[in-house]
Order: sequence, then structure tokens, then C-alpha cells
Amino acid sequence: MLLDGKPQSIATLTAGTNVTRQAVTKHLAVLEDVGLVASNKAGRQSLYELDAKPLLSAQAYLTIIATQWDQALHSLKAFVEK
Amino acid sequence: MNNSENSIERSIEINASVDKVWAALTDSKVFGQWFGAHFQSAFVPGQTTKARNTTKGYEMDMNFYIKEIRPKSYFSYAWHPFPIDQTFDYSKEAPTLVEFQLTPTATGTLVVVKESGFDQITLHRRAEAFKMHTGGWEAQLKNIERFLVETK
Repeated sequence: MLLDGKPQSIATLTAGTNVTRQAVTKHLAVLEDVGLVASNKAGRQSLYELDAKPLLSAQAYLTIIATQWDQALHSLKAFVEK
Repeated sequence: MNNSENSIERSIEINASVDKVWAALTDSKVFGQWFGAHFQSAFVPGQTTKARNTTKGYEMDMNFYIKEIRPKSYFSYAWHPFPIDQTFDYSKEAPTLVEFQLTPTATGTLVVVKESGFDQITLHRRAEAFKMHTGGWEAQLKNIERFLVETK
């Protein structure tokens, strides 16, 4: 949805899904940390926008891979503990 | 967390015995269940296991080059991370090394995963990973959702 190029609120990004605001907020924070997403305050809510400029940096690449591993390890944990 | 330009390291505490975690890591059928992939054969050191990633949005064929299996403590393989462009011959690129280390703890098992060898990764690959990541946005949300449901 961020690929539309328009700034989006967390409410818009979670609409139509059963994902919690917390989960989306956490994911956005990761993307914001590496500079792939920029946020701006608009009144009481933050709007998130895709920023593709740093996409070719090595650090951004490693962060993407690291995020994948975080998800994989959580899947492993959920699988083994069930 | 320990990221350099060349490697990443992630860890997680699992409330289960080393035996259980070890089976989930080194039995290719079980590995596939949580990783989201179908493996054609068992993990054998020195051999290549072909896999089909079945995660929605990330469907792709992958090769796992199994390196070393030290029972209940260490498992490593090399691969070409996220070979999303299935028309590209990744075998010409240097693979990265994935290492799992298991340590028993008071409450279960500490799993540390380290992936190294990224210094060889090309700009083209970085652009691809980015495209995949953003393109897989919906799949990511679905994964998070599934994870939250399963761990409720």
C-alpha cells in the first residue's frame, strides 16, 4: 500500500486486515529505522511514506534480511512451543 | 543484535528442549513446516537439498548446500538468499553461510542464527531484496497475523 506513493496512516494500513495496530506500528518502526519509510505528524496521527532513496545501501539490505530472520525465528518458536 | 556490513546475527529463546528444537532445524520435512518450504530430500552434510519456498508472495526455488551438522549444537548451510528472480543464474554468485547454534538454558533453548558473506552481494541483489520486501507487504502482514494468532 505504501507503494502507491501517497502518505498513509496506520489506520489505512491496517484497514481490511485483522492485524493489530501494534504489529503494523512495530513493522513501520523497523522500516523507519533504516530510512525506508518516513513519517510526518498530521494533526493527531502520523502519516507514513515510502522513501526509496536508501534502498541500495548495504545496511538497508542487511536490515531486510535480519527482519526476515526475526520472522523465521518467531515461526520456529511458535512451531516448537505449540 | 549484531550487524556489520558482512553479517547479521539474531537470537531467540524457545521454551522447549534442545532435542525438540534440533529436530525442527535438521529434519528437512519439519524445517519446511515452520519455514514455509517443501524440501525434496533430507539434510546431509556436503549435499545439496532443493526446496520450493511456499510462502505466499515469496514462491521460489531455492538450493540449500548443507555444510556441517554437529548433533544438537550446530547446523550450517550455504545458500543464495532470496533468489526472487527465477530467470537469473545465482550459482555464479558467492553464496552466504547460515549457521544455527543451540545452547540449553534454564527454561529451554537459546537459538542463535548468523548469516555471513554479504560482502559479495551485488547492487542488483539489494534492489531485488527491497522490491521483494515492499512487494511482499501484504504477505508480511499475513505472516504477522498468523504468528499472533498462533501465539495467543
